[in-house]
Amino acid sequence: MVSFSALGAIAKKEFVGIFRERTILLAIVIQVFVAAFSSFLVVGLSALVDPSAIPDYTEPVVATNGTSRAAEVLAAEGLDVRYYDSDENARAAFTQGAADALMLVRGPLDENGTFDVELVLPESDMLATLTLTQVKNALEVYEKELREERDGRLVQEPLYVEGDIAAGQFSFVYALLIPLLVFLPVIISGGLSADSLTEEVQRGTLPLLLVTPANATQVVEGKILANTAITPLLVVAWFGLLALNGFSIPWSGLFFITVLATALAWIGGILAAAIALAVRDRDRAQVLFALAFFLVLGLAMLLPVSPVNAVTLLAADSVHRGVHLVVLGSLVASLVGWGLLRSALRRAGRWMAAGES
Amino acid sequence: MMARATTSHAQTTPGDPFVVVEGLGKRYGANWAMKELTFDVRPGEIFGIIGPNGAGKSTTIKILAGLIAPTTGTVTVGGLQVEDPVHKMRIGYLPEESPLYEDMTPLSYLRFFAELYEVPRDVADRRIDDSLAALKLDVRDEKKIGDLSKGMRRKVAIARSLINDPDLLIYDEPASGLDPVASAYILDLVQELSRRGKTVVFSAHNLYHVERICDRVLIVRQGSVIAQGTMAEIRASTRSTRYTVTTDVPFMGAEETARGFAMTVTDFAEVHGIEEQVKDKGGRIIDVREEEVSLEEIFLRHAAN
Repeated sequence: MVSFSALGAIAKKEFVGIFRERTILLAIVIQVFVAAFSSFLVVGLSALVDPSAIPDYTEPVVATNGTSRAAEVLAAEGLDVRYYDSDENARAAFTQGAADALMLVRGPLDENGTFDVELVLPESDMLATLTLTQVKNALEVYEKELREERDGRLVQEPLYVEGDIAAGQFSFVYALLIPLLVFLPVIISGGLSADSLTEEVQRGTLPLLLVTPANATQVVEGKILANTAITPLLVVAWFGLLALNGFSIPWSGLFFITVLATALAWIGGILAAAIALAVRDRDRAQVLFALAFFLVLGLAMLLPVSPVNAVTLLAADSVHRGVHLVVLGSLVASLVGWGLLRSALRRAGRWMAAGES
Repeated sequence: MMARATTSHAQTTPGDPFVVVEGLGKRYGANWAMKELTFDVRPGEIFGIIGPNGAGKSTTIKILAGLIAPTTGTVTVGGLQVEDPVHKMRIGYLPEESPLYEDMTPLSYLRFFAELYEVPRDVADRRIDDSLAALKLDVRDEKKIGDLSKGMRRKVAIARSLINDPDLLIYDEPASGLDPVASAYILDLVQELSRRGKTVVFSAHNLYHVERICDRVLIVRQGSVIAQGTMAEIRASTRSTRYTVTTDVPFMGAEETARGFAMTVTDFAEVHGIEEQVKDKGGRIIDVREEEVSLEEIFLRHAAN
């Protein structure tokens, strides 16, 4: 006699229990905060790599001592460069607040054309960070120009990389924030399954479940099921909040990301359950699960399209066959994992109940 | 190898033992927790299992509950093997500790187990009310189990063991660690359940509890049966009834007392021997007092052996 209601009862109790876990609630609230204020967060964080992303942003004013190629490049890169006839006057403009940064260029100091560039910024504040980023970007352009100009001096032929990888607002949201929001519920749901099972073992409540019509498979599946259920719910919630913040995701992307995240959460739950039942200790199970999860994810990154990349591509509506293969592969892996779990639990159910070795 | 003695869903006929344990053995690695354990429990009986730590009591209880598989022998309950899933519907198990979900209220905890047993909500609520009333436990407020006293938690655990209206109650130390009042309630409840036709297998360290409520007792030591039966049978088989014979004339081995000359023997046949001796001396037996040895003394005598 198989009791399907036992599976439902265990899953229901587990799901309700999730919302009693203060730590988990806090983690979810933090994620809600991140997603709800994503536009603010994106502007703040992406400004560190792309200050022009800030609305109404005005380029910093850089005071410099006369003309120089470095100053010309800064101006060409959009900075507001003010030229002064001496070091002292440029420094005075900076100290009096007429400029956000001071760049003093001295040289050439030798026959190789070496210049000394002194860059002065205000003490640590947001504007200093943004100015530094802008000036640094401009100076990198100048550095690249100098390298190209002087590559004849090199003994070996330099290797040129095609194109620049700009870490702008787009890449921040789609390559970092969205995968982060998708994978956090995945790891949380696995962690919850590990916690729940080790608690049953350590508290001694597992045998009480196993003397009811529920069998070992139903107990474990019920827990994984409930903890996996939070993943699609949170993923959909995140994308809703992102949409409210102006970051739209195509419906097909939302569907496939939700399927992918749910399949990965199910795999994570199976992995967590296996570890929890093997080590039977909450702390050790959590550490081992986190290590195993990131190891598996790291190995998956070696694939031509990893699950992380797939999430980015689906969110950015830049889907190709490889992305769908990742989603399909994850589904197949989750079903294979499920089969293995059932097979193992059928053999080890009694051992699980009594803790026999 | 374990024999498959019965068919699934088998029923017993009136008069048959409800629990039949034959040649039960459990081995952990090279060590046997028990060997060749054979006993039966009749319907509606309170059957006590006692023994020192490591005697195999908990292993026996877990096998009866279907939690672990025996290495040898068979166990049938109501004609069903303990491996049969239907067996689970018919037992109520109470482990020695009261592991509960601390963050649940007693009502939500009991309803959760009712769902596991597929007990309809109205039936479950009625059973919960009955159990809580019998246990004199008022948990109608929203207090969490973690906030309850040890005695109240034990009562919640007992109410849980009754939620499926089981035929067999398997209780491991049900009154362990409770104050005398709570213990008395629980022992009374076990007796009441027995009167209602429930069969109870009961393990306890407190031999007074066993002696007070058990109809029959099994004494195990190092995984083997030392004695079993009613208290009278155990006393007889272990020569645990003492007879103090008082006479008006001295006889061999007697001590002089205020009333005459007395001697304590454990076999009633010896009383006849004394009678013959004093008759030869022209005397007579004034009094024979029968004194029952407590289960604790019997147990200690066996444990010492």
